[in-house]
Amino acid sequence: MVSENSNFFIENYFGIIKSGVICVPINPALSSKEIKYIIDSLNIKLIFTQNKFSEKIKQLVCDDIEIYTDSSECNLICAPENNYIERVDIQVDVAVILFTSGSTGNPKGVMLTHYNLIYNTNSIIEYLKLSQRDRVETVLPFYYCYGTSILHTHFRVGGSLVINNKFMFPQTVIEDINKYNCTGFSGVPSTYQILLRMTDIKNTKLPTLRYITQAGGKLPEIFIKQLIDILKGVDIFIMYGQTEATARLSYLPPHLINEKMNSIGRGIKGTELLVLNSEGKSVRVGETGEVVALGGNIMKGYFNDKEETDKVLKNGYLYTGDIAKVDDEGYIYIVAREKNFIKSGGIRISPKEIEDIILQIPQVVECVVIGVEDDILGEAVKAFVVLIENKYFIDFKYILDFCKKQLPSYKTPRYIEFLKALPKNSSGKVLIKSLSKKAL
Amino acid sequence: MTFTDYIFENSSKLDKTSVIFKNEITYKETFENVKKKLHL
Repeated sequence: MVSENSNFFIENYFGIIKSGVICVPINPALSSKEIKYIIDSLNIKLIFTQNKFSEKIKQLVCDDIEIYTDSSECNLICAPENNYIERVDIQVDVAVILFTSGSTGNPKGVMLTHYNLIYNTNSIIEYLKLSQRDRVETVLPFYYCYGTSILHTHFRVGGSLVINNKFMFPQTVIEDINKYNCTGFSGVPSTYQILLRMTDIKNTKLPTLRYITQAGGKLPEIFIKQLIDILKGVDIFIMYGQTEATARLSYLPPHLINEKMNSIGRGIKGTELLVLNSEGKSVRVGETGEVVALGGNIMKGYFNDKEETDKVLKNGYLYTGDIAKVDDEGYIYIVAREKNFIKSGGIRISPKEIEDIILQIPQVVECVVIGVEDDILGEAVKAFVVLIENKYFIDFKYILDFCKKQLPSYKTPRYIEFLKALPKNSSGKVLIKSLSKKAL
Repeated sequence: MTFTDYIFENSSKLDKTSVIFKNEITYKETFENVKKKLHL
């Protein structure tokens, strides 16, 4: 399924799954090479794509693969009774394969069973208290697990979707909430950072909005506080998840957002979420360890990749690769992804801590901190900074002085690079790997 | 039973389901199309 968010996607997505075969939503913006890799590695037989992508797709495939587009899909023959359906075992059979961004090497195909999808959808509906009265505006693509979870949950309860594919004009997102009386909105950290610093959200009343959700990485505290301040009366759900867990693993109840600031909450209903130390035991308060999950939402495995599957699935538990702490009530706080720590002079530095400081500067829209090679320290701190347009009086020295007031010297950036925008994938996640290459 | 059957299990609840896209309000249309295609 090569399609942007659209009616075309929705109709065919549910149709494919109903037929008992596996649907593989693919980001149309991927390079031809990446799409071909996915088509070849999964031995795809049939492709649904919007007209606008059909030429690109046709060049990648041989004649024995059928292609259906917006204009030709009506030629599909519907079987009155599909015998495949009788054979679907929801616990075992895969319904969807979603490709992860692939932080290393080629993207990995996450196999999700019918049961995984049902299990996670039920949990999300319950804690968001979704009903047919809800209408969510979605800017997140349906080929991304967070986006598909929005589609699943709202269709299951009989709610409605407002599709906005124009996030490059962020003011339209705010306008659409009021235009269509939306009750919900979902975004990743960059979604909210851009809305808060590049739109008129502060001066806009959103009377129909009941809740917002945030996942896909940690939203810096300063932005969480701004959302609390601006969206009075709106439930703000800070959440955590992975494609390997269908979508959702935890959420923080909105009434605890101030008390448990920066926490991702605890495991959602039916999902056991633990933080384990290197000995495999639950960490004590203040100690760091890896986030590990068990539940009906955990994937079947990576497609055709036992080696990678075995690295993350052990005895049914999903090892997320995220490092966290817990407080005395069991609420979890993500510190960093293991591979993203900066190792400078033998000390582990969390990039998030430095990013949070730099983002306190009101003219900074986004910031990412990474480690770059350094002959003496091993790694030195480098910050990539995006400023609000026409505010270029902020320079290296300004940011450095700002950091020095709040950080020890070994954590202050040695290098700062100003960018017009951070490189991101289509889900809005920052491509750290791309920045690391840029820094070399 | 498939995941799609589960999504459309409570059809009575889905009377008001709509998808709004490109300023066109297609109340029920998308859902009805899905149902038609799937013989639900």
